[in-house]
Amino acid sequence: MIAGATGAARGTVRLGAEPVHAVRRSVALARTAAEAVAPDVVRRGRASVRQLASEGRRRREDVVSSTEDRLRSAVRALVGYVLAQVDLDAVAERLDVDRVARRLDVNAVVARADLDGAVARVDIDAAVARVDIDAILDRVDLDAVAERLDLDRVARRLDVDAVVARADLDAAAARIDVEAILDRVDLVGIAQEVVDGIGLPDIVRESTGSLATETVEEVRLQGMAADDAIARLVDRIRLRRRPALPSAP
Amino acid sequence: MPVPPPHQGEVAGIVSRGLAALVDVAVVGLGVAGIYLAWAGLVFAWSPLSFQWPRPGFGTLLVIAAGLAVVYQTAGWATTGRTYGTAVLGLRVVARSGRHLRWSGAFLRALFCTLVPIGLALVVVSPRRRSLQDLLLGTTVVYDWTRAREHEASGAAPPPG
Repeated sequence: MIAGATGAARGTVRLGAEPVHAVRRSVALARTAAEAVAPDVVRRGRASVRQLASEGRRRREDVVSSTEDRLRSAVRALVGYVLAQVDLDAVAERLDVDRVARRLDVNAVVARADLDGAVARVDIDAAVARVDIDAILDRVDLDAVAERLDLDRVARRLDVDAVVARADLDAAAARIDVEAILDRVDLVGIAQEVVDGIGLPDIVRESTGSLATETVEEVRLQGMAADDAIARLVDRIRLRRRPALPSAP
Repeated sequence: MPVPPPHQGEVAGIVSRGLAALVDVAVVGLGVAGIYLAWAGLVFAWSPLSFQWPRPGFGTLLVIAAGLAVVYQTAGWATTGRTYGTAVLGLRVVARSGRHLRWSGAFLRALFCTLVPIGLALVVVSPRRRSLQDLLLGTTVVYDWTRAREHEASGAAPPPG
């Protein structure tokens, strides 16, 4: 605005200089005539003209400078007055921000921005400290994230050996409440399933019964043999033969 | 249970019968101990504060043991022909007919065996391996590894001798 006003002022000055050029041309004709008639007079006239031209140039520059200063002051006052009269909130409401954003060359803005300097000036710790991570997590649908997560791929990339090597398994084992685990385990039920699976009662019954049967039979046979031995001994003592004992039919 | 043919039905000797008698004595001893504990339990239940273990005399215990032995043997011989001791040794007490004793015969034999246990020693010198009770009552003790039902089903042939 100021530049426009300054150009207008220069145009006005230029319009005012037209008569000066006409005068100059008349003076040039007069000078040519005078040089021929009175060279000394012409020389003195030239010096005077130069002085006047210099003075005019100075005056012209002063006029342009003062005009620019006054125009700037006027423009400032005018803009301040206009801004005071304008409801910027209403203007902002009527402003189509999307349209403005579409016209904005973000890449150019970013290219011109000193991002390194901006990042260097940012206090990351303070910014992180102000972040409410719980609120963010509340808004995040972790189930949906987990469903989209390719765990197989993650597991393939995981160096399990390195993780195990870094883990303090002894400390982890020391923290395990084995008694609580055992309390939750149905040892009786497991033992019952094992016993049922291998048929332990039948094995014990068969082995016990077989052992008892063999023992009883052995005792009986030994008793019979002893009976016969005693009988023979008594027969020898009594010097008689013991009558044969027939078997039952 | 396999039965050795040479011994089935033969008259049993002194060793087998003596071992059976020892088993029966042990059974009667356990029975007497059970009676004693049952009696003590009744006494305790009747008066727990003044409870003292019963101290029966030897004669009392002997009478109880004798009575229990008579009942025990009578029941065994009259029903299956064998007490627990004779069952373990594979023996059976039979009458002349080869069948089980009657209740009266079983009772008399049990009474004799209990009062005159030394009568068993006659088996050693008896040609037919008979004890004093067998001679008086006409009974016989034979090897018999079969079960009671099998014994009855087989016709219960009379024992030799």
